[in-house]
Amino acid sequence: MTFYFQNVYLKDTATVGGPYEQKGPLSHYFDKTYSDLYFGEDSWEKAEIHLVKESIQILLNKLGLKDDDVDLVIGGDLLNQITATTYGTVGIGKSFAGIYGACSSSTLGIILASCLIEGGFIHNALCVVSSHNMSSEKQFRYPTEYGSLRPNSATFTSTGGACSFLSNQRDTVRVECATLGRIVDYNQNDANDMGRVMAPSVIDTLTRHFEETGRSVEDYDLILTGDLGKYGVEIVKDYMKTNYGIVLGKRYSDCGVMLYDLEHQVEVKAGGSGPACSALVTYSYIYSLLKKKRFKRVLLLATGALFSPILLFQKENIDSICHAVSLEVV
Amino acid sequence: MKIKYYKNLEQIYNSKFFCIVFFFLPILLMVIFMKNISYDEIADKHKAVDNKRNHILWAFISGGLVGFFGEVLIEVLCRYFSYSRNDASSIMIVFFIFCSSCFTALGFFDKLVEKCRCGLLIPITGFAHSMTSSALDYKKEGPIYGIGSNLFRLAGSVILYGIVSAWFFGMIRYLIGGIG
Repeated sequence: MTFYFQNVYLKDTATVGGPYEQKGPLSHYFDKTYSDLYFGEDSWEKAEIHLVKESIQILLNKLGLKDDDVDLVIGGDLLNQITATTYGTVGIGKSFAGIYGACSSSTLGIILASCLIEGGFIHNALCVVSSHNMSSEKQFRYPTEYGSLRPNSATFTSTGGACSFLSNQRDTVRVECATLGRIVDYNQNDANDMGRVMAPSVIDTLTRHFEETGRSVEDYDLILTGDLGKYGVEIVKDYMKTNYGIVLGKRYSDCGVMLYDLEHQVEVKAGGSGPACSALVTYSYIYSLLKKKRFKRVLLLATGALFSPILLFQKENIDSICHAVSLEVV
Repeated sequence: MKIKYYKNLEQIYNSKFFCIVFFFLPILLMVIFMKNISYDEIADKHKAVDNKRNHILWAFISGGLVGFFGEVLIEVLCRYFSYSRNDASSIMIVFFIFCSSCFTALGFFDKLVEKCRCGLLIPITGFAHSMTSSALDYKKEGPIYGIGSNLFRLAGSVILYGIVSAWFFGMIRYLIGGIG
């Protein structure tokens, strides 16, 4: 399903990163980074809530808006019952919608908010996503202090909170079109190789996007996937070339690979992941390049592995989903 | 009869059912499954390579070192503090549990385990490490719902199957050799 939008604009963004992101190559594009994973709180979950709160405050300060000026707050994260978003957005905005798309929450939020703005139901919306390395380790894998054995294919949940402000007032960057993805099951069940799990969803959404819009790779200055990691990127490139004859080439990159310095930050293994990963890269680095008009049109494909440890132990596959959003300079 | 038989066969060949089952269905199945198989083939080409030889070497060295220090401790306790060998090995185990828990709490043992892997996970140090890390993670949820119910999150299955196998092999020993 592809939607076109006429008057939805990305007004501003705010990003807050953690210590691992601070050491990464994009650190000076973030609004704020911390060198401590607790962010002044006393538990991992509260630290993630802090990230959400802080990124929203930075964004509202930038725009000079009050808490009540926001029509809709829409957001999601990885924690059970999306608690980081619900606790972090208390008292902000006239309405709230919680979403869960795993690591694809960032684009899912933009798409849903854009639909409401385009339909004239609301004037503006605030999309927020967050993830915290330690809180997701605790929930999905092992206790944080446990030395778990992670293979080289594993990705590293990024720590950060990122939010964007969408509005119907004219601005430089516009949300131009979007493709809502569908759940893809390719019989993958390795929780330590999320790139391989999520690559099929990218292939599915990307080919459908090209089919429905009649566009090709050349129509975009940059095609950016969410958090496939360095191995998932190769799978997507190879599969698109052999089965569809689409050469992605240098116009294609991945947020998980860009967020960290893979050579020196050995602990991240294959790259970054988590809802914040794609949001941190697009809302900081990519958004600044769009504002400088270095790019004309960028396609963002945030990927999510809809992964439940319980169902994985019950021998079920890991499904994945991918939503695409095209950002354009007006 | 024979002629009739051939005629029937010809009819079967010409029937739509035959065409669908033996001609179109395999092609359809191939088209459906080929995509899947070729995805796995492509994904296998770009698989991450783990340096297993390195891991085995590290595990061998670190596991050996743990054993070596344990033995040295037992010998020292036996010779200079006149403990019996049984008591000395118990003290050695307690010492290792303390070290592993303490280092976990100080925050660098998980990095050591990631490096040495089974060299530190198979000895008693791994067991203590799993319990301490669980306790650290859930201490904010309180002593009952946090530490109490999550302490054996990782170690629980080791304890359960340790006891079950101890009982099982104890029974075998009893049946074969009797008490004593």
